[in-house]
Amino acid sequence: MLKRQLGRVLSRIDGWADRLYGSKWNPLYQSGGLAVLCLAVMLVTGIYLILFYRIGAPYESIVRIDGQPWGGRWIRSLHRYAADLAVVAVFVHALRMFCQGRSWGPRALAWVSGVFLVFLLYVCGLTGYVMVWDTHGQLLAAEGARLLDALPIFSEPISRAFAGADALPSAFFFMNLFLHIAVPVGIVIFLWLHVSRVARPVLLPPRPLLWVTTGLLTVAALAVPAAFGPPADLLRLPGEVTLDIFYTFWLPWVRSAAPGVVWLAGVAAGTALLAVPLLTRPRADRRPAPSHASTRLCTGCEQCYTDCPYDAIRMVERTDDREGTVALVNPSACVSCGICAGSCAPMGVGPPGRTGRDQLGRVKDFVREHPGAGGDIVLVGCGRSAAGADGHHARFLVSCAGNLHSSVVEYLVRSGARGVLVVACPARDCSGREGPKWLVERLFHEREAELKARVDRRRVRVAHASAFDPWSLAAALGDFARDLARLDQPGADDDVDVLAECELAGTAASQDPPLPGTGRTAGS
Amino acid sequence: MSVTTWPRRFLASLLAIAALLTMVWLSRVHWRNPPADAAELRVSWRIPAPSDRRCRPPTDAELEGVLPHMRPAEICTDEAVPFRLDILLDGDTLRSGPVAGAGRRARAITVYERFAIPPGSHGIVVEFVPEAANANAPGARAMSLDASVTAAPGDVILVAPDDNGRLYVSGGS
Repeated sequence: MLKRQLGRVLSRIDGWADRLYGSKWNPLYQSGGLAVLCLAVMLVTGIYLILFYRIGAPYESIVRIDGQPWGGRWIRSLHRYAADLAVVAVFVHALRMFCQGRSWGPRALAWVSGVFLVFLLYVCGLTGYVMVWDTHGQLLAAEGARLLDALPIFSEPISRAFAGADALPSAFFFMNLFLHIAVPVGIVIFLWLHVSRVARPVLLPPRPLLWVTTGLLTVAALAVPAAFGPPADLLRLPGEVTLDIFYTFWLPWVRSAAPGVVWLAGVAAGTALLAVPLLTRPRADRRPAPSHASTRLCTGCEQCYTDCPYDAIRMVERTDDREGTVALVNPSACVSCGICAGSCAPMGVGPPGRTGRDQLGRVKDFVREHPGAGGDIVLVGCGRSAAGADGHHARFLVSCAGNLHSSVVEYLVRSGARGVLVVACPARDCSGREGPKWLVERLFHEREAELKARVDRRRVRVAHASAFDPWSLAAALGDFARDLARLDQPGADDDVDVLAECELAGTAASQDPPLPGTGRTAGS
Repeated sequence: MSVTTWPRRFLASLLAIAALLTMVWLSRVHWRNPPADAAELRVSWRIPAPSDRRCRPPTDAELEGVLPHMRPAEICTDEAVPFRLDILLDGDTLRSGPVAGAGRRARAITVYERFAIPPGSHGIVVEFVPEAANANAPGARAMSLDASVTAAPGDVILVAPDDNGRLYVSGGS
């Protein structure tokens, strides 16, 4: 229920963001890549900052860094703001995965490793704040020690180190610095684990978005340098403290709560997050079945093995009387995205009920049920895209655009459809990861299971539009209808070199040009 | 680029900048750490725990069955000396009770107590004495303090021993 409601809100925001930024540059779709970008920025800036940091005089070294207006100050600010943006990006990323149901089954490892990544990010951030050793850092260290003292780990209260009787030993700052540097190594390891179950992981956002984000962070760092408070004084209570809401939002509450309550709340929150894969797993009878490869139909072409975005298919030696290899699906790694169904020319692989053969059977029924659609544009697309929301055209829905077998498109065109507009999710928001990418390749670039050359590609087009982005769909439909009208004019075919036109269409689709007047992209 | 995309691009840029500024603002929220008008009294030290070692000759029953070369000349018990800590502020008891080192045998005794106190002038009395039964154990030395201090808001009044084992007050005025 919560997932559905959140999902609807998120989809609406996606729709508006698509309208503003275009689906290709919508930062909401790039949240994971933006988080990694922020980590990279922190790593680079951190290497510079570490050259000036002194564990014997932490606050003084920060003041010294801050005294370099064209060096240290903005680099430190960039380090800070990148850390803040990383938290925002991670939160958006986790929310998206939760709402889209991408948190259970084979994706549970990614979710659980993601929870640990968040924990490590926070450890890294908090040790960074203690490094500054201003009043904020002092409060964090003292509260951290108070919470640790509540655990039956230490024989003596470590809070006593902050009593003020003696100066804090350099060993404390050394340990803190060590954690701040060592934890990112753990982040890299967990990041590897996080993406270990996907093929061809995309770790960074597209270059323009990468540079714009880095540029904006740099401008912010130059214009509004990161603040730090007065130096820590153990014989004064930290009064006015500058909180970073992204990392220390919990401090005011924790300060007034009993350590036991804080630990209980922390353990409860951690357990709830780790339990999400179990809590969001559908009932057994509603879980989509994993793909199955037919050994009889498989030709061993390896295309499903290549296209699978989750490395769930491997090629094994045949055990029957034929030679060569055959595709074998690993059910524990298969998320049932169905992309393999679109990649298999002989229609021998795919989730039950969604193979190419199943689709072909359905489209035959569809054509029978929509005899009037012959002279109109038929929308084909996934239910998550705007095609699912359109009520004006005949719609043939598939579970994912990448699931669509090219023979379905061919069947529709040859049945007399005026045109076929395949509506896919925005490329970076596909729940099957690479559906829209492979779809365009198959329809226009001769990728295996390609749309046959006998089909007039001018009557086929691909558009990307999320569920709450009717504007992009309307624009794509308008453009397509205009082009089809030109095509339908008597003698239009005589003026066109069909082969050259198809070649051009394929090139245009690969470059994903913006649709006129929308800033959106579409293969055509 | 068509005319209609310019307002959209402008709005997109504006939104990105607004989001960035919001992020920057949220990363520097001022918070007055409560309580703003309070001071704190801290009592802190760590001393090696004196032990009370008592020995006696073994009884015949204890030696029975023990090989001659394994027989001890005496049997000793070695127990940490418990202390009593009393802290009074303006005559009111803030803490009163025993303090012992961790474990049965001689371990360090750590004292770390924190009390929120109102700002102003206060009389502080701290008594740290071995429990009466162990008062004569070697190393079981008492420490005490009776001082007046003035704490301003936000001050920390620290009671700790100096190198000679005498309690002193720092912080405040």
